[in-house]
Amino acid sequence: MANLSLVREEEPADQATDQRCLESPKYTCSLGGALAVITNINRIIPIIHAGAGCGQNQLLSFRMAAALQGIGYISGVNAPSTNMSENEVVFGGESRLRDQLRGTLDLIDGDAYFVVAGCIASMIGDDIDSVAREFAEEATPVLAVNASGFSGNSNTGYELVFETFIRKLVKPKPKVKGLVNIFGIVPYQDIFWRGNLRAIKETLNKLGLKVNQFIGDASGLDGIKNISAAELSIVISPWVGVKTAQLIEEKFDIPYITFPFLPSGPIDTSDFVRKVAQKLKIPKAKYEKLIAAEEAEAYNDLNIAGDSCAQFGPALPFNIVAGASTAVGITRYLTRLAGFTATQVIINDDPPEEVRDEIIKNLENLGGLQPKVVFEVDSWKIRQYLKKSNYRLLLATSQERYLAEAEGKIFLNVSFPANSRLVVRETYAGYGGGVAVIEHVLSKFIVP
Amino acid sequence: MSHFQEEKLDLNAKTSPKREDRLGTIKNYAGTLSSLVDDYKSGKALEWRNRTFEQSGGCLLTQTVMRLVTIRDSVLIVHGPVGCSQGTNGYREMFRSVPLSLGRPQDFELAVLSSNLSESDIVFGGEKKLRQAILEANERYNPKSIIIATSCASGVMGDDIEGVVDSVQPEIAARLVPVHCEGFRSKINQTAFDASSHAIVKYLVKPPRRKQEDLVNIIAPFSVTWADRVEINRLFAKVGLRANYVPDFATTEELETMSEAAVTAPTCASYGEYLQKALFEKFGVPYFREPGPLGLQNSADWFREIAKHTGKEKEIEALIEEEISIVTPQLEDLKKSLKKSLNGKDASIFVAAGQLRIAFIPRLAAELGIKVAAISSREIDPYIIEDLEKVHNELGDFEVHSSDEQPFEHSHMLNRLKPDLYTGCPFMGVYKREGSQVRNHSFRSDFSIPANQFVFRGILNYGYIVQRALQNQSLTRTLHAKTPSPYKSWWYEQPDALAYSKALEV
Repeated sequence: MANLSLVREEEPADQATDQRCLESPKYTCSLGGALAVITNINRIIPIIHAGAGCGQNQLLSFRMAAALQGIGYISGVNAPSTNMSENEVVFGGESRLRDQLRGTLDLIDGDAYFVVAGCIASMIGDDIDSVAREFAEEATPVLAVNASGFSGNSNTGYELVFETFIRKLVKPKPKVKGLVNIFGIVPYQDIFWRGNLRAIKETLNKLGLKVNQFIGDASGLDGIKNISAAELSIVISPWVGVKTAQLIEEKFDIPYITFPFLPSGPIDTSDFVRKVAQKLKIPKAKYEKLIAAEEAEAYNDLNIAGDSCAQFGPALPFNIVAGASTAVGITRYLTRLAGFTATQVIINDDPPEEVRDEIIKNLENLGGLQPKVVFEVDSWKIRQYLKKSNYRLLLATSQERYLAEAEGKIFLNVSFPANSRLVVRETYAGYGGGVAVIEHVLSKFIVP
Repeated sequence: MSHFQEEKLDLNAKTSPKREDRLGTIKNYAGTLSSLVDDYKSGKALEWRNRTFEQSGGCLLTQTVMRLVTIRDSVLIVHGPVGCSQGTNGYREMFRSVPLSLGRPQDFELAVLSSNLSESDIVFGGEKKLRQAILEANERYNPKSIIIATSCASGVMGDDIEGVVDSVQPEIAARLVPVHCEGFRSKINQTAFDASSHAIVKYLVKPPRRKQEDLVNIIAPFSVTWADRVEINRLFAKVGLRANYVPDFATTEELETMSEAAVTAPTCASYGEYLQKALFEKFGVPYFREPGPLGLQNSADWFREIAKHTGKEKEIEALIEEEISIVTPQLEDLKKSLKKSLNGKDASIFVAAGQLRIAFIPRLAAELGIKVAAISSREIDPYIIEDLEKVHNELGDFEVHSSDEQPFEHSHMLNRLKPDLYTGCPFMGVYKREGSQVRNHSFRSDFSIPANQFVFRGILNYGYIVQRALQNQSLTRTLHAKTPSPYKSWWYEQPDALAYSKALEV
């Protein structure tokens, strides 16, 4: 009976995502993904070796579409870039990169410098590694990665950066008891990445663990170097970060576990805690005590918000358009705990074929109707799916906002691109994450 | 007398030349207004320099798509890898919040497709994907036109864009408009404005069926907000004129009929230069290049130029008198209160903007009683120096800089000059310092009254924002005190903001 009303819709096999044009796609290229990571590691300085507009097109656009998060230390139009033009296309860009690296090291205060090469550099065959090696005697490391735009999407760029760190910078270290690495939360692609990482970290801290989160905190280069000191890597995503975790296992003998969606609210967060604790052989009494206390608080939150759920949105039908991890995490909380009805879940970040069944499995048997699950990246196609669906609430990207609002439906921006929301600390992860979704959703309904 | 030798445009060519070749545009300058003007008058060409360190600037593609994505009944195809269309993410929804009562059209779609070039396309060429994208765009929207923006990847591969256009055009009704905005093509990204204008005039603009004597093309790219449009429309209605805003948020038909207008008026010198000239040379539409309608005097002069070509001299003189008499008492109060907020001293500003704003904000600032410490333009075209010469004659000397968005150079100048206020592009980020910062202009969909800076009443809106910013500097000061700057201290200890620029080796 489980699959009774489950319909899975996606493109036929002859139209894989990389073989068709895409309307307002819900991610950017490898270069963008790589820059999203590097510019958010404390005091690691990006050097973009790409066309003149690539830095602006990625970083400035993230400032708008990634929930209006500002540039911090060095990003946006501040980011150093070789701004390649005709001269480099004809004569090669290595000499320009050499000058740029010298200038960046002299001018910008950083702990490491990271060259990210885009389409032009790759097409004309610049040897960025050898230019980077010329700076081997510098006091600070100089790294380089080829993240040409056509090599993949934001998630590809995320993995490429960590792969480069692990292959070229991280050295074996003695293990630190209770230290774990977190992967799979991609800055900007997940607009709540800062808050989500903070929530995960705080939960694991309560379990007595120390967390390497690398991005969005002060750890910087030391955090990266400590990758090899961890006891365990934790991947929070159906697939993003798995490659990285596998490489760490191979090189440093550190095992990994995956939690294939964002743990949101008490049930899934407790599952997450148990999974991590059991892997690290933390005594059951210890983690169950934590779980009991946290759950009591989380259910009390729901007790407070629940009356309004029943009053304003009984069994509220909703559609969600988001990356797999966010879509599954939020849907599970709202349907299993808060009585909402998921009518359609549109996964917009193109998970590889081999993880799609697992994503669907995590959306089954949650109580209520079985949602239709769609995998689609193209905004126009997503709008067609929405037009055919029955919902009162839409949790989606800002590109779906006015489709919903034109019909008087309630809209909440929960995924990239997010031009209509400013997100700094907000999170839907962890024990308090679920009730935060309810707070934000119902605040849109309630009319005095 | 102009020193600047202009050549006729070749509108049959595949695309426009690059600006560094056609105009001798530069984007590295640091000096004084008087030295810039004197050198120019003595016939010295602007010197091209390369930077050995740069921060990310824009490219031809970013400058093209962020404007042409807004053509209402068109589809924009970004022919490149998926990241090249990332800059268009917010535009589909951008104008939706404008109330219908303020003139937003009820039904419109702003659509952008990426041809999504992947690894195998780079090996085998992207023409098949482009063709597929055109057909898909046509089927989804039945648009009046389809604009194709090329990328570095398509350019390096050598995709035959015109070949695809010629083969697909007979199959579809939508007019195909290929814009050659390969990012690497020019170091002056404003070449994109020429490439876009070239394509629009070449492929879209139709010969006039009739002259519309009350129609004024207004160059309105990006920096013209909805509130500016509402205000200009209000004034135009009073004198019996209609505005045709191009290219932002125009329809294909509005672009096609630019040839029928009485005159083309500027709000952005960088964007308008080629388009104005092309419309004049091909269809005889007259134009004027300066001033921009910022402040009272500039706005009056701007309207008088329009009057010359529309036969509305009498109505426009009455309008100017009425507006100035309404604005002047409020402006006097504002000036007093501005001065008071700085304990009697004149506020000084650093204006970083496009060429029209750097040339015409100084006069607006003078009307507010504000001194200009420096102007910084993204690029310098020779012709703008003629406008700056007039500014120099009226207002005296100040510093001039050009950098095409190099925050490290701005930061250097701000640290040295310590102006009370930095007014710049809304995207630049906050300069951490003791002093205020405001954006030059709001976003184009902003319909609130404070978002209006152009024409007469705009000076009040600008002034009120400046006043508030001068009175509360807590954001820039807090970030200055509490968060680190990325630049090492030696940068500020040496005197030259152009330390990383060097003359081109010949």
